[in-house]
Amino acid sequence: MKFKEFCKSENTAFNIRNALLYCKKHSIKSLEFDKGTYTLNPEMAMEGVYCTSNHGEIGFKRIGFLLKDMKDFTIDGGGSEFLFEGVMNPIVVDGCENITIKNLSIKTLHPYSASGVVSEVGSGSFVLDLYGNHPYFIAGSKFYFGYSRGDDYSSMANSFSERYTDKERLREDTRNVALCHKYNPVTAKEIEHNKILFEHVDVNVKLGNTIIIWSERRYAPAIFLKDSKNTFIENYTVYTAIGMGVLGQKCENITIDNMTNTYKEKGFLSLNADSTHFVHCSGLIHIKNSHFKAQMDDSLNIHGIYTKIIGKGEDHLIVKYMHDQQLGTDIYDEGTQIEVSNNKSLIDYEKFNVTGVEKINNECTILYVDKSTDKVTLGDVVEDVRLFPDVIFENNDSSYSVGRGMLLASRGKIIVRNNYFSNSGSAIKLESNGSYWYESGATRDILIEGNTFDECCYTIWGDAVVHVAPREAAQEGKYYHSNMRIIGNKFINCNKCSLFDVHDIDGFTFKDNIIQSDCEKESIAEHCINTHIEF
Amino acid sequence: MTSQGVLCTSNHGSNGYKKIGFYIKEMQSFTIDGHGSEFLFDGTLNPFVVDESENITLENFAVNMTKTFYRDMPGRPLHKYGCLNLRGF
Repeated sequence: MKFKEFCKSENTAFNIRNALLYCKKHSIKSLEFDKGTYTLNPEMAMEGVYCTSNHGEIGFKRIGFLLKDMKDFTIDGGGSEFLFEGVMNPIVVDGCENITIKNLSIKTLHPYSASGVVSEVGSGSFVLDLYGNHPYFIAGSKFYFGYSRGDDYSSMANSFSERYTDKERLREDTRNVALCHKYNPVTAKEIEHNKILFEHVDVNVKLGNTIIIWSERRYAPAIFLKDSKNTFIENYTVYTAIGMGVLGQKCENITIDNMTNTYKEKGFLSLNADSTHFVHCSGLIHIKNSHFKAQMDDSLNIHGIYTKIIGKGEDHLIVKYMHDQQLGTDIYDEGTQIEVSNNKSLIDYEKFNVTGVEKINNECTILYVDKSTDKVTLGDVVEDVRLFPDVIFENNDSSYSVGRGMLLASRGKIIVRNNYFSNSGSAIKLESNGSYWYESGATRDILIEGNTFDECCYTIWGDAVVHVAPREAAQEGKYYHSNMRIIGNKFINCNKCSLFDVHDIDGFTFKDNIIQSDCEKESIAEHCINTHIEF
Repeated sequence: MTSQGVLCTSNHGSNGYKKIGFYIKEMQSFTIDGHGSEFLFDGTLNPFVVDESENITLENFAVNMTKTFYRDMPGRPLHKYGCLNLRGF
């Protein structure tokens, strides 16, 4: 159906709500927009209660497009641009099957971020001339995004990142720097509108450089996929969001074809977090022909969740989600299989079938299991090993972003093929741990083939193009990862780093790569066996 | 490890997920008798929620939040108890 048939009020979000409810009720297969610009306001938008992994900010959410328990349905934006006012989730797909979202772009008008050029510098101080017209205010000598102190929207600008103004490149010798926090000395003072003096800053910024300031709050990904099967995202552009570009949570089969995140206006700023991120998904995650630029974190992050065992009985374990951005993700289902691992080595020592799941609250869950829990040590971690995805990431480019190109953690078959990486940090990183992030995913089969790695690690975000981090403890004769092959890639100008720094792998191959780099650092394979390395 | 619900609480705000000490949900003809006990609640949680229930009695107890968002100042009488006191305490 054409969306214009539902344009009966002046409020676009309300019209979209009415259109989606009608399509669901009458099993309509598609909702098509005429090409145009549509502005959505949260006042009469749809609403749901959501816990969004790796974002936090759980609870009631205003939503532009809420697809809830729908099947075989397409949203065709017709090349339109959707602008989102205030604080809201642009698109949520929840409990759906066979959904396609295509031909549209998303822009959150006032994300918790802004940028500007440095017009004056002093020791530990600088004046920032902000681009654009972001609502902001100063209170208690701190800089806030928002309209006034105490409104729901307001949020302090916690961090900044420095980059060149005349080219797409981060300043080489810095990473994210603390800006305003409640308890640090950094102060902000408005000299005139859009001209802010920041003082008592940890680093000396350079005159004429561009500074991006942002809040650490991640309110909502632009597209949030939850508990859904067979989702297709095609010809999708996202300029800004208060979070990630696409977040998939406990979904099966997601295809992203021709996604772009980039900046539209002066300021070099796109998303304030990852481009794409998948948590406890299954089936195949296939990302192709996409362009990831100017976001504030990884192009792809894919992982499961470790929960910590805080109690046990004869037939059950009580587990806790440890990172506040994992609360309420509810990954466990009756009938799943779990492994228990030492919290430092992450090597498993016990397996269970889960016969029942009883959620206590967003933090704690009781898992009833099929045999004695005698061997289980409190404080160790549990991983659900039934659900994990295969991953294909091909024909994409990832450049001019903060941090890494991708974080990979899945037991499935992973192929990273024919991509272009030019990242300020490592292009590919494996970093599972049982502390702080509690992100799981020992890898079993990774093929990295036919990619170009162009001047990766040019800032201080990483020391190796491919970095497989060690666990907190290693067990003799046991290896967390297995079977990584880096074959037929090109490494250009990766001079400040090593090509690889890998740990804890059974089966590591590096061969047939073209190396046009004068690496300052030596490549390392430590606590690895069955290695085959040819430079 | 307390119970939890999603609540919008009139004249309070702060809507959303709430940890709850006693969550009486869809119960009928039920009494909680504290026998003069004092229930102390750490952190921010709802001590009692009675939701879609019928013929519920809460009696003989006191509620005290150990960490409130206010403090009694010197020179004023101290209020020992935070809020609820329904019957018989």
